[in-house]
This record gives sequence, C-alpha cells and structure tokens, in this order.
Amino acid sequence: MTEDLLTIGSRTFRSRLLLGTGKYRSFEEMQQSLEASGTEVVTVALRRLDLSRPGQPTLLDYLDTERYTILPNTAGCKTAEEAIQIAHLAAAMGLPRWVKLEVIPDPDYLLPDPVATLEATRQLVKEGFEVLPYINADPVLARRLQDAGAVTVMPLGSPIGSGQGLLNLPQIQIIIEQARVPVIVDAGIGAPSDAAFAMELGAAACLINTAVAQAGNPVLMARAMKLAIEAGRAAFLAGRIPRRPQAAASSPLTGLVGSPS
Amino acid sequence: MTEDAASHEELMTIVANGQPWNVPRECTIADFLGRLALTPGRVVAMLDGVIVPRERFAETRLREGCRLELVTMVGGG
Repeated sequence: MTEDLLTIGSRTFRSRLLLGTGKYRSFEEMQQSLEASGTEVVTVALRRLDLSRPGQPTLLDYLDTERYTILPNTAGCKTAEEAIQIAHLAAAMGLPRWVKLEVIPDPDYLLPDPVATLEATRQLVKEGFEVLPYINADPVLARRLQDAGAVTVMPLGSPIGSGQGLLNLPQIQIIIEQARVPVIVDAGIGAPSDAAFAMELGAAACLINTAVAQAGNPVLMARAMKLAIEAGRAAFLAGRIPRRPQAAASSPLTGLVGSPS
Repeated sequence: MTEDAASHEELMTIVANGQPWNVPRECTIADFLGRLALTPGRVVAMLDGVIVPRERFAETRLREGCRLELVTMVGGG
C-alpha cells in the first residue's frame, strides 16, 4: 500500500494533525505536546516584540524550526489589509511563503469575514503566497476560495476555543464532497472523538490548539488526538458500513440449536 | 533607553512598538536592538509602515518621530 500523504499546495506531510502553539501553560509543555502529537506543521501568530522584557524566553527558544514547518497565522487581523500586511511580515521574517488566513472582525464568536477573506486570498495568491483560509462552514465560499487559488479550505467546526465539536457538520460534509483541495477542519474540536469524526467524514486534516493546550494533561491529549486522527483517517479509507434502519444479525440465522428443521 | 547611556550624544525621540524612546541621532534599527540587549531570532521590523527585513537592520537609520514596529513570532492557533 502506498503511503497516505497529505499535500497542501507545494508541501507534503505524513501527519494529518496541524497543531497550534498558543495557550499552553508553559513552553516545555508545548514542546512535549508537539512531540507527542507527531505533528509536522505548527501555527504561530505575529506580535510586537516585548521591548520591556528583553532576554525573556520566547517561543523560538522552544520551537525546532528544522523539524516543524511553521505556518504563520493572521490572527488578530480585522481587515483584509491587515491580514495581507501580516503575511508580508511573516515572509520578511523568513517564514515559508504560506499563511493561515484569518480575518476576524467579531470579538465574541471570532467568526471570520467571508468577503474580506476572499479579497485577501485573491491578493495573496497573486503575490505568490499559498493561502490557507479559515472560514465559516460555507460551501459556496469554499468553492469561491478554491477558484481564487486557495490551497486548502479550513472550515470551523464551532467557534475558536469553544470545544463544542462539529456543530457545522452538514455544511462541512458538503464542503468535503465538493472540494478539489484538502479540507482541514479548524477550530471547535474539543475531544479526540470530534477529530476522529471529522476524519471519518473525509476531512484531509485537523488543526487543533485549545483542546490540547488547555487539556488537563496536554501531552497525553496530544497523543490522543494523534491516535484519533490516524483512526479516523484509516476508517475513511476503509469505508464505513452504511447506516440501516433495522438490525442485521452478525451470527448465522440458520442451523439454530433445537430448531425444527 | 537610559539617558546616561547616551548623555554625550544628541538624542531624538522615536516611537517603538507604541512607546516613546530617546535614541542617538545616528541610531539604526540594529543599534536600537543592540542597546536593548535584544538578540532576537526571527524579528522583522516595520518603519513608518514599510517592512524592513533583518538583513537591512544595520543600514536602516531611524529618524526623529519615526514609528518603528518590531515583530516576532508568538504562540498561536
């Protein structure tokens, strides 16, 4: 059997778990969680350097950039222009020329702006970026983004950090059914069962942060997510049985002991 | 930037990451980082809205009233 690889744009990976680097209780815990998850792609945010505390440990002291491919996000950007600028800064920083595009004007539910996301995608694709847009689970938007050259679409299961699981399930299924690019379920995954379910449905990968970082034991949860994603992927490839309205016995219905014939 | 460190130099005020700083007139981005004892890994700068890659820090001079943004990677999802 040939190796089952995940291809996002020009990059290929064995792991189908993309992991965030935010909200861990310590850099050490983050480092160990990345290790346990088997991830090959980690997301980072761009922020002002803290000039008041020079010399403090930073993310980079704990992130093996030879081992993990860094995927910069545009979290915190409320407009297409801001997101494009962050992509430019990330590229100037020497990071790979790809970006998890988030344009989020709404602070309460952190729902992305579909129009600004499409605009920013068009511009960044024109500039040679590989764009991974974070979107609400809207199949029409997903198609428009694909047509604009996005290398994946990343529908949210439920609001960021909410751990509510796959509330947008029917829409995500339509996106998967129609997609020509890999579909990465991003946001809302609370437990390994959510991740496994997404993968069973045919998601190409999951991007997870809070569910690991804020778990009671993040390192153990990272391993649980790895196993769930592998299980879900294997189940998708294997092909699950159809649902039936009635029971279907697993044991033979003939040759019953004591039957008249 | 402490004043005693540059008491014999002519100073100017810049805004770095939203805060005012007094720096010598001939200060470059590299000098500024050096004075803060910052040994940043992957840092990128934006000077008055224009991105300055790290390899140009040593040649890029700051000007009175300029706005400098120094940006790095932090944990994120």
